[in-house]
Amino acid sequence: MTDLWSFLLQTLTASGVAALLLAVKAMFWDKLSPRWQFGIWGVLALVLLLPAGWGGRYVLANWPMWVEALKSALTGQFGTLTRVIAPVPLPQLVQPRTAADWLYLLYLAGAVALLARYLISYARLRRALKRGRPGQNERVRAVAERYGLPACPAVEVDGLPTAFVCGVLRPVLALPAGRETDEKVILHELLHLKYKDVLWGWLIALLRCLHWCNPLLWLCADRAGNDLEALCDQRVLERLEGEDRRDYGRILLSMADEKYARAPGTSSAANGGKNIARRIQAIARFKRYPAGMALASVCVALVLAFPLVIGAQAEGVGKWGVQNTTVVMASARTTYCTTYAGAFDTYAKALLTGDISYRAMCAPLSEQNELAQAAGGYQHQRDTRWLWNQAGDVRSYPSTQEGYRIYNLTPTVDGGWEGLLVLPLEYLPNDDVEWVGWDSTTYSRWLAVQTLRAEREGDRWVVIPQEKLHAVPGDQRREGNLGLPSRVYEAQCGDWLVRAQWQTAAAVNSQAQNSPGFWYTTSFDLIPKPHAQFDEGYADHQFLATYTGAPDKKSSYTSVGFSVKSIYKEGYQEPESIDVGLNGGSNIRWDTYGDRILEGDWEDMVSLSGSSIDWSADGAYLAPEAYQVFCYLNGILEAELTLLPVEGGEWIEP
Amino acid sequence: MSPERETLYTGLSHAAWGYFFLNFDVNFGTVSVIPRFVGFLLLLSAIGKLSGERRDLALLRPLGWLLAGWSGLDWLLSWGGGGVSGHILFLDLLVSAARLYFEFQLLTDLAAIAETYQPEGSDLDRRIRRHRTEDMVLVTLLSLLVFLPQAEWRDWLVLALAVLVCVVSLMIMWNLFQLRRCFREEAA
Repeated sequence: MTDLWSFLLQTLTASGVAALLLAVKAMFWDKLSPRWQFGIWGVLALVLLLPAGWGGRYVLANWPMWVEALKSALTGQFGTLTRVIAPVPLPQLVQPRTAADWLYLLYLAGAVALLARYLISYARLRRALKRGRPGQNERVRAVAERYGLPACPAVEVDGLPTAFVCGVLRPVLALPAGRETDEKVILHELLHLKYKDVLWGWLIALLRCLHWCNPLLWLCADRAGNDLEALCDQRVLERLEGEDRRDYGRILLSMADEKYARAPGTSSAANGGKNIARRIQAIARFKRYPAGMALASVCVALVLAFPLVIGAQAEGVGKWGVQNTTVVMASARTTYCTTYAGAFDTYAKALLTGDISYRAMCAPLSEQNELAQAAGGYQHQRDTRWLWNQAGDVRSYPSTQEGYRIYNLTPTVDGGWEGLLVLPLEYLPNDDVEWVGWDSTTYSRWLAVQTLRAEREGDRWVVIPQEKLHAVPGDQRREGNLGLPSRVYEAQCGDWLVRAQWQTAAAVNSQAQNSPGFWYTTSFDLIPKPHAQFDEGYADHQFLATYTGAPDKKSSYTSVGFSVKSIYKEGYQEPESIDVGLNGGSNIRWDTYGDRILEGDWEDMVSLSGSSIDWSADGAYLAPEAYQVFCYLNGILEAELTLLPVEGGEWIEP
Repeated sequence: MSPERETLYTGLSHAAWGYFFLNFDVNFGTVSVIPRFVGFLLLLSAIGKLSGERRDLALLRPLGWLLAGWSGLDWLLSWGGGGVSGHILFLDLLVSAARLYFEFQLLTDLAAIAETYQPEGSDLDRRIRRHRTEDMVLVTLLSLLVFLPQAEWRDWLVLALAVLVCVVSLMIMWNLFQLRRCFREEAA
C-alpha cells in the first residue's frame, strides 16, 4: 500500500470478506466445531496478506472499480490505476501535496503508533515477569507430563488476576502470586503453549495495526481472539472427563467478572465477561462431532476460501443503464486486457462500436484523461464517431456483423505483438474511389486497415496504433487474401520465377447466441473479451510461378509443377519425394504439391497451389524461414530450390 | 403399520424424492420442470416427520427454509428468463455453504435412523454415510472447478463430476427407499 487509494482498496476487499465470514459464522455458530470457527478466520488472514486486486481480480464486489471511480470523482484524474504492491503500508518518499496524501500520512502514523503501543506494552510485561519469582514449576511439570504437553518456566507475579503464557521464542507461564492456580487453568495455558497460540495473537495484533481505522476488521479481530480461546476450551474438554468438565465450566464462570488486560504476545483463559459467556455456551454444546464432520468442515471452508482468495476477473465494462462517465471509465480502466489477443479484440470492437470505454480498456494510462474527456462529451457513447474519426480519415462505416481480423501477427523484439487490423467497410471509403471488379486476387469490397502494436503496461496489455486507419480494396473473408500484405519468398528456376506468399489472419471467437432455448440465432458479439486468446483464423501460403523467359520459348512448356516443404528455424526438414499429379493438394505437414497444364495462350503468371491451416495449430503464426521446392517443368524435375524471403522477410504490400 | 411407523415411512419417501428434485433437472426453455425448491420442501417435510426419531434434525429447519426460499425465488424469476444465482457472489457463497452442510447433516441423521432400524447384518447406515461423503466431496470439487481457468479438460471434468453426482444421488435415493422398506416389512 503506497497511497490512500491502495489502502482503501485493501481494507474494502478485506471488509467484504469479513462481512461474509461473520454471516457464515452466524449461520453455523451452533453447528460447526470451534476448530472450524477459528480456522475459517484463516481465509480473512489470507485475504489481508494478499495484495488486493492482484492480476486484475477482485473479491466479492468490484472494489478496484469503485475505488477508481471515487478517486476520479474526487481528483478529476483518470490517468492512474490504483495498485496494491504489498499488503503493508509503505511510506511515501515525496512531500504530501493533496488531501489524500495527508490522509495517507495520518493512516501511516496511526499504524506505527498502534504497533509501538503494542510493542511497549509487551516489553513492559516482559520486564514485570522478570521481577516475578519462580513458582509452581512442579505442578506445571506434573500437568504437562500427565497430558503429554510441553512445559515452560513458570513465574509468580504479584497482582496478576489470572494465568497466561507470554512470549513465543522464550515462553513464560505467568501465575498469580499468593494462590495456587487450578490445574485445569494450567492445562488451558499449556495447550496455548503447545499450539503456539501466542503467535496467532501476534498476527491478529499486526493486522489490527494495519487496519486500525476499520471497525469491522477490529470486530473480526476480537471474534478471532475469542474463537481461539473457545478452541483452547474445546481442546481442554477433549482431555477432561465427567465432573472435571463441569469444574472447568465453573472456573470460566468465575473469571467472567475478572479484570483482564490483553497484551499481544500473551494468551490467557480470561478474556472478558461477554466473551466468557459465549465460551460457556460453546462448552454447553461440547460434543464429539460425528465421523466425517472434519471433512464436511474442510469442504465448507474450501467452498468459501477458493472464491474469496482467488477472486474473480472483471469480464466487461459495467454500464448498468447509466452513462456516468466517471464510473464507466473507472470500470473500463480496471477491466483491463490480460492477453495481447484480448487487447487486439477490444481495440477492434471499440472501433466497430465507437464505444470509448472499450478503447479505455486497452489504451495506455497516458491517454485515459483524453478518452474520459471525449466520453463525457457524448451522452450516448455507442453513437459516437469520435473514435473512428480519431483513428483515420475513412468516411465509411465498418460492418459490425462481419467482425475483424488481425493479419500477419508477429512477435516484436520487446515482447509485444504487431499485426494489421482489418475491418470490412459497409460503403465506399471516400468519394473519389470506385468499386473494383473481381480479378481473382482483389475482391469487390473495401477494407479499413491499420497496423497495431500490442505491448505490456504493467499488468495491462495496451494497443498503440502505428499508423492512421486507411482504406484498401479487398475482402477479408477470403482465406489467403493476396490483396493484403504477405511475406514473399522467391527463387529462380530456369525461365521461371517461383514465388511463395505467406499470410496469417487471426481473431477471437466472438460468436454469440441471441436467444436462449431450443431455437437461437448467432451473431457477431461486439462485447470485448479482454482475457481471450486467438482461436479463429488461419495461416496460409500460396505458390505462384511467373514465366520470365523469352516469348518464343513459351510454347516449349506444357506443364509446370512443384512439391514443397516449409523450413522452420528449429530444424531443416528434408523434403520427401512426392509424385507430381495433375491436381494440386497438401498433406497434414504443410507440405504441398501441385501441377498446372499449360495450354493455349497462357498468362505469364501461373497460380500453382496453396494450403491453409487452422489458427488452433501450435505456432501457426510463425513464418517459415524458407521453402524447399522441387520444381518440375514438363513433368521432369528441373531443379531443387530454396525459396528465401525477399526484402529481408518484411511484410510486402501487394 | 402403526401411525409412528407410517410417519417414518412417509418421511423417508419424502427425503428420497427430495434428493431426486435436488439433483436432477429438466428444463423447458429456461424453466425447470423438476424445480429444486420442491426438493427442499420435500426435505423439510421429511425433517418434520423424522425429527421425533432424531431431534438434531429439527436444527436443520432454518437452513432448509433458507434454501427453499432461495431456490423458489430463482425458479420464479426463471419464468422471465432471469434468476437469483450468479448475480451476488456474497449470497451465492452463503447458500452454497448452507446447502453443503444441510445435505451432509441430513444424511448423517438419516444414517443414524438406519443404524437403529435396519435389519441385523445390514450395512445400510454405512452405505448412506459413504454416499453422503462421496456426494459432499464431488459437490465441493464441482464448486472449485468453476474458479479454474477455462479449458476443454475442465469442461470434461465438470461433465464427469456432474455424472458422478447424479449416480451418487441415485444411490442415495435407492438406499433411502431400502430404509423405507424396513418399516413396511417390520409392520408386515
